[in-house]
Amino acid sequence: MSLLLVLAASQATANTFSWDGSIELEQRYFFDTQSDSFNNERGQTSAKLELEVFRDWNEGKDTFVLEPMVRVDSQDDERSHADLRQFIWSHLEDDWELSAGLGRVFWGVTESQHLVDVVNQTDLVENIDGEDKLGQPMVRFQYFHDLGTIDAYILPLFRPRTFPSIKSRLSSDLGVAANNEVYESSQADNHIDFALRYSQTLGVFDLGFSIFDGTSRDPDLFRLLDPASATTTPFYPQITQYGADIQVTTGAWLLKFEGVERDFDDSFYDDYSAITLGAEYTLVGLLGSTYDLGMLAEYSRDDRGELATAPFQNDLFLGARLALNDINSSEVLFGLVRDLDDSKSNSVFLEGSTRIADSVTANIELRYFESVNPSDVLYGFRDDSFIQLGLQYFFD
Amino acid sequence: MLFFARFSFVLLSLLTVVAAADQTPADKGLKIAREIKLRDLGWGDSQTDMTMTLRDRKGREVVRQMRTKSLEVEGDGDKGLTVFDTPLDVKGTAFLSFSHIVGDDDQWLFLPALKRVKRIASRNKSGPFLGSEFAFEDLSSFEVEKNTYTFLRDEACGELNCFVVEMDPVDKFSGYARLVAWIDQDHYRVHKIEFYDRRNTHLKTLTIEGYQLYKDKFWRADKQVMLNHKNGKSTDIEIKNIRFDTGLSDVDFNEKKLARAR
Repeated sequence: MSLLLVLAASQATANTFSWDGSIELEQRYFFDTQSDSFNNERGQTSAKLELEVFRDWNEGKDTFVLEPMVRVDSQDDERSHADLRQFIWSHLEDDWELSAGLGRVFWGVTESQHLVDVVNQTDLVENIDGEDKLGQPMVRFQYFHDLGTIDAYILPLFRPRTFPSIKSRLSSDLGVAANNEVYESSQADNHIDFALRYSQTLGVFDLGFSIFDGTSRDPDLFRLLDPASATTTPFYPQITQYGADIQVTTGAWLLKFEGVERDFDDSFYDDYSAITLGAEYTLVGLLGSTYDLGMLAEYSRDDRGELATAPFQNDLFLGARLALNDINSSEVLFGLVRDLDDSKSNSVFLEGSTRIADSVTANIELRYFESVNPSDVLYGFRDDSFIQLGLQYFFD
Repeated sequence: MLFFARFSFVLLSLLTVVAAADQTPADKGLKIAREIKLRDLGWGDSQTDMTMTLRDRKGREVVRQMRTKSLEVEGDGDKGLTVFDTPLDVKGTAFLSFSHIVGDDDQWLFLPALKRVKRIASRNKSGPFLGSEFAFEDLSSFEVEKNTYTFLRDEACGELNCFVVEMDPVDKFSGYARLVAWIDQDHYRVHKIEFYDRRNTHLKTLTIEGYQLYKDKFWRADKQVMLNHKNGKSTDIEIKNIRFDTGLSDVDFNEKKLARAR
């Protein structure tokens, strides 16, 4: 064995350092002026910068990821914000992994809502679809075994949900006092939460079972509501949530289930359960083309019924995802959510993207809300239907 | 002496003719397919850097760079992990696939923006791999049981002699009615494949160039070019930096660890 070979080998396992990021410009146009006349601007301009820095050492066994983001918004001071999506060290072994820092995890299988995904707080000012999440302080231990994967979390600090300011669009007519949260726990946002998840793949089945114990990521906005001023202080109760998520992948079909049982410590609240059931079917080579069309249907039910503060209490989601499979990776996702108890509560969205240059994508987003019943969760958005065009530039 | 030599020559020819007559085109095709697999048995694991150049009819190009890890699985299809580096909007996306001799493959996708691992339906085998002219099934591992075979003829291919073999996919969800492959008689390497769609029209042609020998046994090509005759588009795959015996094992192909893939 020559020295050269040894040198070559050590070079191959040398520490790697990489970084990349993107900057996105977005322009929104609202179809209506707001009836409460807080804000009659129909345009909203926004820019977002995201970076990711990665470093590893110890032959790749130790990694560090830093993922900051900053947004500047023309209309909403609350939406102009910064966050560390990730700031986390991990030690990787073949059968286990230990991480500490600010992290992001995703649990679940469904598309229209994510019932079981409760580790990270929603960054609601980013988008009302709830897909954007704040970095969560955590110590996480994963153990990988043939009999399944165990994922254990200690979550020492709580992060309250972000809300648009009342004077801005998509604020649901409700003024949410920022930095003024009330907690059931006397330890407030220092309450230490725990979570445990077991997941396993068995043939066509992907199974996940989880327990979360701690501060609910979903605030109660009604408990401390002041009707006179239409402002509220978010109240965060203590919960224990049991979750299950199952996906069956067979042929061109995906069958999905998510279910949770949420128990409250505070007798003010009734325990409840909620489910999402769904199916997705993909047509490959639509009508002799290279297009793929995925069709999705998901039904959600919450046993609190109309009292539910969540938007999906008895709702049907229908969606279609069209992938053109062209060199620009053009894609469109269309969705419709219908409240089965209220035929006048509907929302429609369309998200599309295509690459217009090597490192630039053009994105379109359209959201349309229909709601006439003031008790409807969507009512506050009835004047906020919008179309958004975005340009995103990627660099490294 | 001369007589004896002559006699043995006649005998030998006679034997060859008898053997050939005994062997149907199906037998001979299957024998060639088995030999292809046999000669590639025991490669273990490998890693490569791959560049995919997608070209449309107007000559516009998109270059995609990715890194691949592969693991040979005895008695079943191979395992593969692909991590994308460019275009930058898909950087960090990882694709894990367990191909199977019988039935659908298992496939997972890691989406870095959402930190989400998605199990995806794999009946898309006839669909394009990331907008390229390669279908998923074109990139999955070669297994004898996936096709039935018919030997067509011997034919010169460049400086070599090739077997021309028809391969009929067994899977009814394959996008092809048949494939015709040119396989050299020296080393059983595939040099060209013509793909015929379900209507039996000539859809695509794959040419494979730049074979190099690794570990004194395994031939790997540097370049594959897929030309689609229907839409005029083409995709080049260039493979660089092929490494064998990189110490990969099952633990490196775990869907639960896909978020670690970089």
